[in-house]
Amino acid sequence: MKPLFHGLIRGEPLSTLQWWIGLRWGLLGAALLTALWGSRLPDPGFPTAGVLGAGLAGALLNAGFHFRLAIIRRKTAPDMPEIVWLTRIFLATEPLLMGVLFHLTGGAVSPLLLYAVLHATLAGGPLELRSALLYAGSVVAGLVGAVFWEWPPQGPGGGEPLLPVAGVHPNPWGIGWRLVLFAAVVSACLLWVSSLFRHLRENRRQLSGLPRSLPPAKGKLELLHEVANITSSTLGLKPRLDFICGSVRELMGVKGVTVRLLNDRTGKLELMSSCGLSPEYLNKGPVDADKSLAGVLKGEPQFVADAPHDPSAQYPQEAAREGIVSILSFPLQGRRKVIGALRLYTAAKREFTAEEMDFLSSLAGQGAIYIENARIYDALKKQDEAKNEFILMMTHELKGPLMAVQGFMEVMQKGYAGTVSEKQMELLGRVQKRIEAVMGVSAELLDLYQWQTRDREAKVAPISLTRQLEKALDLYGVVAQEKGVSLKLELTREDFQIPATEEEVEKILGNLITNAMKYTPAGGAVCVSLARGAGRIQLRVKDTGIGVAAEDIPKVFQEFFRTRRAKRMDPDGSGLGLPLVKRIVDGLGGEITMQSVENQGSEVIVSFPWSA
Amino acid sequence: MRDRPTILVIDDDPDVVELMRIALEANGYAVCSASNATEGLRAVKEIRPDLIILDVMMDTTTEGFQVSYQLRSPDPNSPYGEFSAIPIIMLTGISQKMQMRFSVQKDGDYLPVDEFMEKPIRLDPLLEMIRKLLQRRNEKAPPPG
Repeated sequence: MKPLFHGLIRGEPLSTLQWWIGLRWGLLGAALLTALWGSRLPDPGFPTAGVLGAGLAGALLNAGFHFRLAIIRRKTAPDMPEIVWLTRIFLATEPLLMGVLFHLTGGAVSPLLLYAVLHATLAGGPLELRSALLYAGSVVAGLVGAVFWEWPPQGPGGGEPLLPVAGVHPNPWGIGWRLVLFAAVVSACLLWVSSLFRHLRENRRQLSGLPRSLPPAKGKLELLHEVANITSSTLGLKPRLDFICGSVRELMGVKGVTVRLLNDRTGKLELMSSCGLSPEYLNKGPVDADKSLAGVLKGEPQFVADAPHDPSAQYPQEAAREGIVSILSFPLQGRRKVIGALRLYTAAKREFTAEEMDFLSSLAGQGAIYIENARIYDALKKQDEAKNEFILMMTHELKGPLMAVQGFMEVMQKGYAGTVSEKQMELLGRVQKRIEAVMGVSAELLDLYQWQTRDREAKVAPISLTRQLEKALDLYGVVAQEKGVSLKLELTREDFQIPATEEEVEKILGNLITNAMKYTPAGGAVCVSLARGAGRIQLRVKDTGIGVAAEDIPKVFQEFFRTRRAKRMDPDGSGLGLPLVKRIVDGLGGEITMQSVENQGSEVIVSFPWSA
Repeated sequence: MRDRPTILVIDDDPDVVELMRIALEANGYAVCSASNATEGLRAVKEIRPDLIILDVMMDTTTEGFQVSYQLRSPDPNSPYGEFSAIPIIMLTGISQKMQMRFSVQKDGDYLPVDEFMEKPIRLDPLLEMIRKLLQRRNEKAPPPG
């Protein structure tokens, strides 16, 4: 489009022409009104019939342009040469029409003179400079001719000429330089208008380009953000890569996108994710890293312009069958080596801009780092799962023999296996107690790791924390009384509910309350409160017990951690209660913290998001 | 009626069988044992026990269930029809692992046993349970003669 219109007009050809046709309707309307008005005057000073005729002829011509343009606009693919010719004819008729009206309304003394000058000047706006100068030149030449040849000698209606006519200023040189000056002034105005319009047009072009360029830019940002999130994903690598492939395909407008990762053992690139390509093509066979992606493996992007006929392509026939023309591959450059490739497949010949190449290159670079991180994360997670599995299995294996030992102890203690001396009975009691402690630890271990590996239902109905707390207080009140610890409950009138199961709430409350009582000597107090604070539901369990040293506070939620004083006070504790509570609270989207002063007491604060 | 009630213990852990034997014999019961479902069912036919203590998990996690289904089958042609009245105590150790908890009220419909007892087994409650079940059975079907 641009080469055709180069040197003619600046704007979009169709709408510019339509704009001009509209303006001409205005001029012709004014001419017709003038003619009608003049016909009512006794001496209008111009031939009204002639102006009327010229106006009607102009209107007929303009209607022709109008309908021709309407036909062109209706076509799905407008014919550019036709538009160019139509524009040229239109521009040629402009001075012609104006000349006729100019002539009929008084020539050098016509009121249209000002319009003609303005018209010539403003042509610098929509027209390219060359055409504008040509156009203005023809108008000025017409004027100059009219003046030189004293046409019409005194204007058809007599009166003073507006321009210096020869008869008034007999010195031809004087007239000459004035006319040159006049042409220069018109040209200067034209240049000035031209420059102003170019400037405005450039601004408009940039502004109108914004809405088009914004969505892709936003898409690119979102995509980079998505890549950055690969590691923090709990969904796993595959769905993320699928999303990235889909987004790259949409943003770049290509046929298909794949991500292949290098298998170090086989040297093949294994497909991790793809979109836009048929299963037949994707399963065409192993992609040898050293054959089709030798350059990529060295860390360079690789462009195969014509895959079906490129000698370096590994599967040219399959590419042809799939309708693939070119393949652009980027290395997924990991920390130490290339770990795979991001590939874009196009269905037609297509050039990628430097900006697109930069974007894809940085996407692949970042993607590689994050994929590596995600793999490390997955490996660690697997190890952690294996550890959990091992602990679960070990605990189960321990349980059977321990239960048998416990059973035999009881059989002996009850004398079913013969008489037991008093001393033996005492020893058996001690063994029994230790076994019970080990069984307790293994039960808590099971609890902890089963909690981690269990499948929790995503949606759980809200449960009243207030009600559960009242129930727990009933349950532990007796134990507190036996121990000589006062157990107090502080509630507000509000009924606090959280989306959790009864078992989860029981575990939280049970562990926190028994813990507080366990480490509070007789005569002390445990106070449990539930209230709204800092926009959250806050459960506080406060005791006047042995407390925890400041440096130990961060460790109390670690598995098996127990302070020296806690061990002394309760040798059989497992150090698994608070870690379990933390896991449950975390799982419920809550937070748990501890405040404590040694020898004065501790306060555990559990807070949940407030949902009205 | 035999002079001593006979209890069949079906469990694959020989130590559990042994300690049950000592405890139960000391309390005046005759004890025989089986270590899997097939052996157990055969023993039911041969010994005609007065009560069965059945471990739920043996070679497979549901082997105990199979035994109880066979014994309590509603099929009139079941080869174990005549044994359907024998009380069964099921020992469960799987509630922890599979996060299940059994109860006769809740699970009695599909787990045809009389009582559940969770491991580790405490002897006093077990003996009490056995005493009650045998008493209930004698009331229902007074021994001939």
